[in-house]
Amino acid sequence: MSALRSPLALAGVGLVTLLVVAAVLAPVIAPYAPDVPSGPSYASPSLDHPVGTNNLGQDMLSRLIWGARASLTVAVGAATLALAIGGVVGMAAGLVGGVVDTVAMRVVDILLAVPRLPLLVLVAALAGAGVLTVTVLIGLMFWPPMARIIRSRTLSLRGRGFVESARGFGAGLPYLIRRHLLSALGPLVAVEFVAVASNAVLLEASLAFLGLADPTAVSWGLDINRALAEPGIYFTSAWLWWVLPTGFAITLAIMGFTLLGVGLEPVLNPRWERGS
Amino acid sequence: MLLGAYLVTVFALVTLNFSVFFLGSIALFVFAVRLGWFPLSGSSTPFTSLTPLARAGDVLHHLALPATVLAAHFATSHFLLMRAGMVSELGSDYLQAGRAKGLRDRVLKYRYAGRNALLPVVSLMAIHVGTMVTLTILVETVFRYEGLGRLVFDAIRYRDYPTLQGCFLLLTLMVVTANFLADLAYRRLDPRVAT
Repeated sequence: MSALRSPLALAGVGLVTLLVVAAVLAPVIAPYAPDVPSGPSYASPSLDHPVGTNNLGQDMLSRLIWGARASLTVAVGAATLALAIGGVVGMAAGLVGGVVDTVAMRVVDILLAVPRLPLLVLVAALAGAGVLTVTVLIGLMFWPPMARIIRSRTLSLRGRGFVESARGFGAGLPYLIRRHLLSALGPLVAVEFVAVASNAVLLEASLAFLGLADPTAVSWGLDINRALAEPGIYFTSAWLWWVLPTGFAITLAIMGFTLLGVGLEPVLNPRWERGS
Repeated sequence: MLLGAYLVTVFALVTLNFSVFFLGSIALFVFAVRLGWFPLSGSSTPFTSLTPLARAGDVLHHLALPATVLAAHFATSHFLLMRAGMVSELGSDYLQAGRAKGLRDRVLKYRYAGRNALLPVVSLMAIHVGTMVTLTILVETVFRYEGLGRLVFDAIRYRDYPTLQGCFLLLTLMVVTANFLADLAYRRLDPRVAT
């Protein structure tokens, strides 16, 4: 893992670690409960409230920390689902070939053409936008690109000597996948997982920003939605500690995943580093 | 040179990761609220009778900030692609031949290498139009802009299916037109694909 020594990758690891720590330890490190008033409305940052409070007097730092939990849940859940479906479809299409491959790839082609945000808005508006719905939806949206990438990698692996000789010895599909493909696909899958996670954070925040989220949830996007819906928000200094830190939290979470992906890339493809 | 390239990459990574609604909110705060250069919301000044020319200016004035934010959100990837294209084109043989012929450096860079490096950028532009029309939903919400994106969102919220169908038809037309225009531009840039 020498590639992780580059400063960009290190920054990515740091940001994602920060996100995970905040999400896991939210009840411990958050100074207040995020959903009950703990001070005056619109309090500016002070020792009691390091990032100030919002219109309801809720502590913004606690909301930021708890918001990490919502974002990370959606990101990991959606990426896992996308990986599970995309991995199975991609490996099956690549290994079996023939009609299975053709049908799977045409389905992927069609799904890739679907615009993501409008569909997400549509389904979230009609079916309700709970955390589970949003996670599953985003996961379902990102398996096609995943399946395609895993398929092309599987195809190239299929022709390699070690897979062919295993087949020659009578290895079946499950054995091939378990024993040879999973380890060879590992780095690629890691990069793709991280890419989907970063997209999921952005989509979840965008949806919540449009007001499509569980109204009782603590979510970064929802906070920005509330803040911008507040009359005259831009003319009070509350914008500075209500919108700005929340926006930066979203940005840093997305950036953390992106940088981690950039950092993992040389691991996947060693020539990349020498070339640049 | 190397440090410069590194800094630019870092800058690109940072801007790429700003969500467009956050970027919009910052732009609104800085340029419309604090500096007062642009109107705060809407797509035109309501309840006024303006001469056609003044009306056009008013619409453009309202459009400037949202359009710039949307463009800025996409500019980075074009920049990265163009840079990579230029780097690879500048090393190619035909430039050597051009230099031997005595062409000036500026001509070589912009008329020859730049033109070829522009090809993938044009393709990306067409792809981006599809993403852009969906991101207008977010940008128009931040700026309270009365456009198609906002209309889509409202139609979904109020279950107004005919409006929604109309919107999607229009959006589809826009994407198809953009792709067509990109193809035309591509042909002009690279006559080899015209045949």
